[in-house]
Amino acid sequence: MAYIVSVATSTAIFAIMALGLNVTWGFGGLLNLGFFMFVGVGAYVSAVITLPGAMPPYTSYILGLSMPFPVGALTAMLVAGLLALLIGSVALRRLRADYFAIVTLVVTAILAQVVNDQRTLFNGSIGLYGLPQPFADILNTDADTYSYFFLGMCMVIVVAVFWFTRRLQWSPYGRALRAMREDDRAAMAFGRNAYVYKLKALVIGSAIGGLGGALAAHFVGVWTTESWTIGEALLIFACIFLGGTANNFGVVLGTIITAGLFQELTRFLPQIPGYPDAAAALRWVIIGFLLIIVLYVRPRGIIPERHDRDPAPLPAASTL
Amino acid sequence: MSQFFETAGFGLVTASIIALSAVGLSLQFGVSNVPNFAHGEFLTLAAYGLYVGQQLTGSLLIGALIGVVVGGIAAYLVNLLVVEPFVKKGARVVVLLISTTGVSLIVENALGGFFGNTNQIVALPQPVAHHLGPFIWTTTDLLVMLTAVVAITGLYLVLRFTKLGKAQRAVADNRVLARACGINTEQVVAITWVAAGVLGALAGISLATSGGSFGPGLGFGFLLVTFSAAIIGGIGKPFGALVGALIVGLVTEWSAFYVSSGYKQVFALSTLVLALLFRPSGLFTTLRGPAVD
Amino acid sequence: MSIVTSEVKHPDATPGSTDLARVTALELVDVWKYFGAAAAVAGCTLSVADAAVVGLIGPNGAGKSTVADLVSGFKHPDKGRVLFQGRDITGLPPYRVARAGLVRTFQIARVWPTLTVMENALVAAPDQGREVIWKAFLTPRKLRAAESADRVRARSLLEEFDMIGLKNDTAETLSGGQKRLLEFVRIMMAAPRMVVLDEPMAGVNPVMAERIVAGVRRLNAAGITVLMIEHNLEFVEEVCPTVVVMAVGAVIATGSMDELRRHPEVIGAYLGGLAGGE
Repeated sequence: MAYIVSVATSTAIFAIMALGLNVTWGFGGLLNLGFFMFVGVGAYVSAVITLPGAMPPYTSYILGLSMPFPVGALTAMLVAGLLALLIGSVALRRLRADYFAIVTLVVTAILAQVVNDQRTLFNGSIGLYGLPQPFADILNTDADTYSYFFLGMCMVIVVAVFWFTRRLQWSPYGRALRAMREDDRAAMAFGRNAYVYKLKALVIGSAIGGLGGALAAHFVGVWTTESWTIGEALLIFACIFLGGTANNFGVVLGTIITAGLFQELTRFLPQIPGYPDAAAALRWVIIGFLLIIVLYVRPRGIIPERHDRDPAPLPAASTL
Repeated sequence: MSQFFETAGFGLVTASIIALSAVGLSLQFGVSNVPNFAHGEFLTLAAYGLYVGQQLTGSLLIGALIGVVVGGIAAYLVNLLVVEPFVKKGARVVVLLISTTGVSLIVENALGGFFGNTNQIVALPQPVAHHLGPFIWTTTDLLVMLTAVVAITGLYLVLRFTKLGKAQRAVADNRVLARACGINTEQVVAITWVAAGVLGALAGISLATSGGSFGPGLGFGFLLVTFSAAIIGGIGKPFGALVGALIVGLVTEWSAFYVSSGYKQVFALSTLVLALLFRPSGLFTTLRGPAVD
Repeated sequence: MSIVTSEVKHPDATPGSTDLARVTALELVDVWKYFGAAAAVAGCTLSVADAAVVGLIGPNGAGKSTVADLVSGFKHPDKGRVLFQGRDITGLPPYRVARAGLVRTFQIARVWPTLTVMENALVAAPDQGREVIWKAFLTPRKLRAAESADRVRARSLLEEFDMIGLKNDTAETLSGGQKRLLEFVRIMMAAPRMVVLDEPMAGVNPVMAERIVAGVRRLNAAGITVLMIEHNLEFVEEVCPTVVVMAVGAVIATGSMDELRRHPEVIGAYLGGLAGGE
């Protein structure tokens, strides 16, 4: 039972990240391959806000304010959003789609290197440990009950994010953004500054990613630069592609299937004697194949994007 | 001052390796217009081919040959099994980017699962330093640079003077028109990919022998630097990539020496960010959409 | 016919236009544009009167499409000025030109494929400060009410163009001709002062062509100035009382099609193509 709760919690966290990435990619059409940079930033920021002060020479990191989790999570979103604003204001100006993807990856690599080298920032390559469990001291229960609480908290956040992105999708902003996804020149010919719209999509998606990162970090209790890599980013993309790009239900469904599958596989894959790393690696191989097959066979995903249904009934006699 | 030249010397070696990888990438990009994120795997696979070959026969040279063959075959297969089907379907560039990244994920993890995630060690002869004017290079360094010079010169000769080379340039320029002129575009594209794979393989082998050890992440780690060089040189122009490689290689080594060696990677990649800021289409311009049949 | 420009506010429109602006909608003053060493547009000077329908013709390579780009802000002149309603719009980015009241189409109908026909129409309407994110969360009802007005306009336009039955279909399912008609709907929704049509007849069958002619007339009847770039000279003759001819980057003649048929330079430029009225 504890195992199911654990899988459900991490799936919920994946779902939050997927919903966020869906704003940037599904609605905005921006290939933010460096998405995991924002997840990581969120995780680190929340960690240093909630952890007590550093104790050099054992651990070394900035801040260490021992603040409660909500402060950490909100700051995480804020910082992730600001970073996205910074990167986007430069990277979105003139670049074509694949260049944007490459630049986000490059910036991610640069940031990872900096974090690893500057031990004073986030404890370097060792990473941060012993992250406090949100609200644990207030609740004061045993591990099992707490895990239910954490799961519940994540579910509530999933619902909130879902509602938010849904509203965004159908708002006039969301509609214009989706138009620009396909053709931003035409949108510009009709008076919209595509750059600003897309920048907003990047910032919002990244802020949600930061929130996911904060949750992930506190769930596991540990965070290093190896915690989230390009593999995980592709996993989230796979969730979106499988479930249905730009469809919130689809994204959640896709996450349940893909992320759930990904985690369950560790149980069922055989350990091959003589090849100790095989089972873990095989999961990724399967995700890779899944991604390619889905992209080829059904790039729009299981559940297609929903469309506007104009409320007025059709006139009685409509000549076509 | 001597250190300036020494560092420049290292820069040239680094540039040689980057050049092999970037020229290959640019060549492939020119005909397919696909940002192939699996390109790094040609390097990694070749390095493993080298390792296995050496383990089996004890000879570094045979290992290298095996590595090159492996790289070429891998490139051919990636194009045949993944890229061409998507292009025929009319897939967008971003879809191809993600698909090839997926291929990279598969290959890297397959290698990691099979060989283990720890580094493999390549048995190398004792390094011998040669002083040539103001530069200091080991035998390996010289071989790497020689390989790069020979391979890229050879490529230049083929592109410039052979029928295949002319066909390749025609396809890179305008695939539809080339086909209308009777060129077997599919064959040319396949051969170009093999060439990209071979060049990448040479880069991977150079990396492995320069470093002495490597892991399954070898290629992907080098991918961004490769793209940096290729984009700076104007992606799609193989010899622009050469210039890009020189820039990235020299900047990397000089910054490592004069600023901080831990940030080598950072500086190498920053050249790309800066270049794109000021010249989004690269130094030598070619901007097109995905190759459509 | 309630689709009148005064109903819709343009954020950047010139307030209180002068008499001069009333008479001239668009003016190019000695505009030059180089691509590398070659000049695609070389000293082009032309003006389009307010509420006129003007055709822009010329052989391939005359620079017509470049003019469309220069006027709409997608490209910027190397020399010279572009004036819209008396206001200098040279160098403005495309979205600002559009907000000033000048809208354009492209050679291929660029509708938004994954949006429905209705959504296409709604996005084309000026956003009037509605596309701000926080409003969607704090004042959703006001937003929806404001949008209803747009929906009513859109429905009425779609009915006029006989597309009301397609309103909930995604634009990618439309035929080429229907996409062109949707473009007209979008232009009407944007209620601009002027529109630049880039080869509206390209690849269109004769039946659809008639509907497009009607569409252009509809635009003009609403007071919108039309500048139309076209190769189909029969169509140009039918719709445009005034025609401007360009060759090698500059204007070589202006007048009615009849006058131009007899103009020696024009005939020279087309090598006799005009004489048969093709």
